[in-house]
Amino acid sequence: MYLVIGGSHQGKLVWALQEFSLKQEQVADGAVLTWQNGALELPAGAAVLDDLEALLARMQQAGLAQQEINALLAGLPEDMVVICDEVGLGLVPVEAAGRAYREIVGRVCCDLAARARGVIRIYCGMPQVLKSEKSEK
Amino acid sequence: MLALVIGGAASGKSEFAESLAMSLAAERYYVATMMSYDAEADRRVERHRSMRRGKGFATVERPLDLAGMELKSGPDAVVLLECASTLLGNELCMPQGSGSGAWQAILAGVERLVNSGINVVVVSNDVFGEGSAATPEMREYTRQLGLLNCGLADMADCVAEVVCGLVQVHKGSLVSRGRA
Repeated sequence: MYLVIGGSHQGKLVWALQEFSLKQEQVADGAVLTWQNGALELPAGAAVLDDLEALLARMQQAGLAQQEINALLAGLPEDMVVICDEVGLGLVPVEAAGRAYREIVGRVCCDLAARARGVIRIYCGMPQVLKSEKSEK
Repeated sequence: MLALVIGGAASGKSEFAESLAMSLAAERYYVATMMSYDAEADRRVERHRSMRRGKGFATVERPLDLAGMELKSGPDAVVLLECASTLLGNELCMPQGSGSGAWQAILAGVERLVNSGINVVVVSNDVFGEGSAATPEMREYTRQLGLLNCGLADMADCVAEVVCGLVQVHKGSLVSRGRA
């Protein structure tokens, strides 16, 4: 798995499609992706999960606990490119749900980063490699 | 030696700061700054306590007036201050806090610890990426935290940012048991 993070509107998806030679048709959108019976319903041929933060927001709204979210994401294929907005870089939200949301996104990203072969942060369209298992070559 | 560990919410910065502190000295103090006022804060404090359990930290509660803290430690000790951002919030919000000079008061407190010769690891927050300061009070907090973080980074031998649990070194290098 590769994890691509960064602020919103930084060109994460454009960079990922080009870097991994993938097409828009291979992108699953976290804003609409569904899950059922403990599994994500990824479309056939999906190679990119975009807007993970939107998926996590919907899982939070559906009342899923952190462990249930972790279990769903454990089923992501090992060759998936996962794209997530960086959140948690603001003041502590006034609403409890806002505080819980950035905890969920932050912890999930820590878990995915630990599992990923590569973690890249995109800033103004430019990549910064945070983790690479290819670094020995 | 002073190390600044900075990151967003739930970025893994505490876990890293703890292991860094543990690598620096066997005599370990954890300066806790958070005052618990509800169940959510209780859970947050408990999460941090259970993370620290068995790691050999003596906890010192210090929600205000860092410069007035008296530690009877040996010269080889390490202090983990968690965190500068909470301490600043307390100094700004509480009647006995130091108000407009809060960031300088905290910086002076850290400097005093460093000058005593012990190792210091300070955790702070990056709150500068979402433009979420909606009120004058929030803007003043953000302004002072920016000044405090810059002041700490200037004083520090090492500045490390934690992103998704991954460490980016912005200044110096990560050392263990070394004295700068």
